Amino acid sequence: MSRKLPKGFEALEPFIAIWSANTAAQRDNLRTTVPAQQRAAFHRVIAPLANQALDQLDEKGLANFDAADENLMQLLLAYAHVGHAEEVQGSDEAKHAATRPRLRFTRAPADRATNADSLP
Amino acid sequence: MNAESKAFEQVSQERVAFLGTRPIPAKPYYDADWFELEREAVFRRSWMCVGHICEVPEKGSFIRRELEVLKASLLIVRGKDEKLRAFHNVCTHRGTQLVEEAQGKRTRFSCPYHMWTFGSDGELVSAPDFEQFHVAKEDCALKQVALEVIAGLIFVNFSKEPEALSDQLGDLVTQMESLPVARATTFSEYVYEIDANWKLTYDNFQENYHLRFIHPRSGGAACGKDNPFGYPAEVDFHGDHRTQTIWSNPDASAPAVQELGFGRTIPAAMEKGLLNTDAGRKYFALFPSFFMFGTPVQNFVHVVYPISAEKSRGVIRLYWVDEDGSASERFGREAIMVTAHDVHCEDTAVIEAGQRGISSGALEHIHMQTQESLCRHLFNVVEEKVHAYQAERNGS
Repeated sequence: MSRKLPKGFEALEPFIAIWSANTAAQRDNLRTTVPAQQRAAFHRVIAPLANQALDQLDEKGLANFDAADENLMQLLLAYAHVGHAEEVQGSDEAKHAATRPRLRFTRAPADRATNADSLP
Repeated sequence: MNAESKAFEQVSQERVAFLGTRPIPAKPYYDADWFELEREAVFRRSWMCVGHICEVPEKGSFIRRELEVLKASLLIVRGKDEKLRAFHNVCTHRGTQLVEEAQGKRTRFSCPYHMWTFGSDGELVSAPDFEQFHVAKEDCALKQVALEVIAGLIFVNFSKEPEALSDQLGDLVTQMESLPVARATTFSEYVYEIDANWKLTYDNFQENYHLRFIHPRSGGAACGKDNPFGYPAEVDFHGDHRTQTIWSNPDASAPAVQELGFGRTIPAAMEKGLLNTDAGRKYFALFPSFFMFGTPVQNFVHVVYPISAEKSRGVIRLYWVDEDGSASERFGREAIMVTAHDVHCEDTAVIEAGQRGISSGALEHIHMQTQESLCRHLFNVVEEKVHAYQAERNGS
């Protein structure tokens, strides 16, 4: 049976179903809509692993990613959003979430499906 | 004592005394008649940023841009001769808009109505039964708009013979060219619409007085004991344009996600020579409504496009050199984008609250302090241009 994540990151497996997303806009939406307790649980697990995960993926190289590496990358990208909720906004996150839909992400280098351009 | 440890000194009133100290009239921030004057006096005569050359990399690449303030649709095309041109997206037969797609690649642009077909240089190539017309083909080229590229950014100007933007900017061009944007091949983007006048929206981003109140969590590194309001270390004025040098709190510590995000992009940025700039803390505010923050690993451009007297649109882009080269770079770019986005999200509600207050007509004037001198400068320049336009129109 193939692994869902590279060896050493099994603790993150329960989070793949929720936190894998194709675009920055989707990741931002997950930050806003996933219940706060689930968001905090994901953060507790991924934050201490992020440095090591990036080292390992850097060593592998983007061009050589298999499905497990790609899953780990997607979780790290979700951490880029969730980390801001937990580490920057903290108890203000709910208030902050109300402001975010006003500024829509339309494009990011990590997006797997590139959106249409949106300059006026 | 080196520059890093030097105590913060705020910009003195003497430095900005030439801008005056009068209260600023409130009406130009909501009045529809004033906005109509700005359309002609400011926006039809100024350079506006509409994109980046990385969007039109090859012969035939094009982008379409809508500029509501001038009721204009523009087609920006790289011709067969590699030259970049801007045209009105308007068929010269009977005015139909030629292109609906936001971007693409073509060698010909055909009007859907009667199939008049134009080349990537704007010339009319063919038109069915053209012999029936009473005009020469060479007089039917697409109407061109002045275009200039600075630091990879595409600016357009609707004046017939505008002063070159590079001449207006002088030394700022070299500084802008030293930033990643000048070599960018891709970007992140987020956009917003706001129920607020373009100046009121823009002003929010050229003063730091509000930082500690509106961004108590996300703006931490911008304020400190020496500088509790996060005022700029320096401001400068360049004709209609202006800059400020952002002060950073040397004692601030970043949350782990930001430390990881910024830290993981620095090796690649260093390898690409992106850290070699003197403009790394500079905020470029180009008239009328363009910003660029110079930080090499968070080099973002923010343009506020007016829609009406009380409605605007913002487009924010973070420019990157090369596609993601590693997992670290991919993660870092996403995290750095979210850092900027978190700050910008916090501004919209308070800008709209300001607009509602001003639009109520309760105030005849608003007030700007010494550390809001960039806002005062913008208003002074706008007012001067509107008055000059009125005088020109009245023949005086």
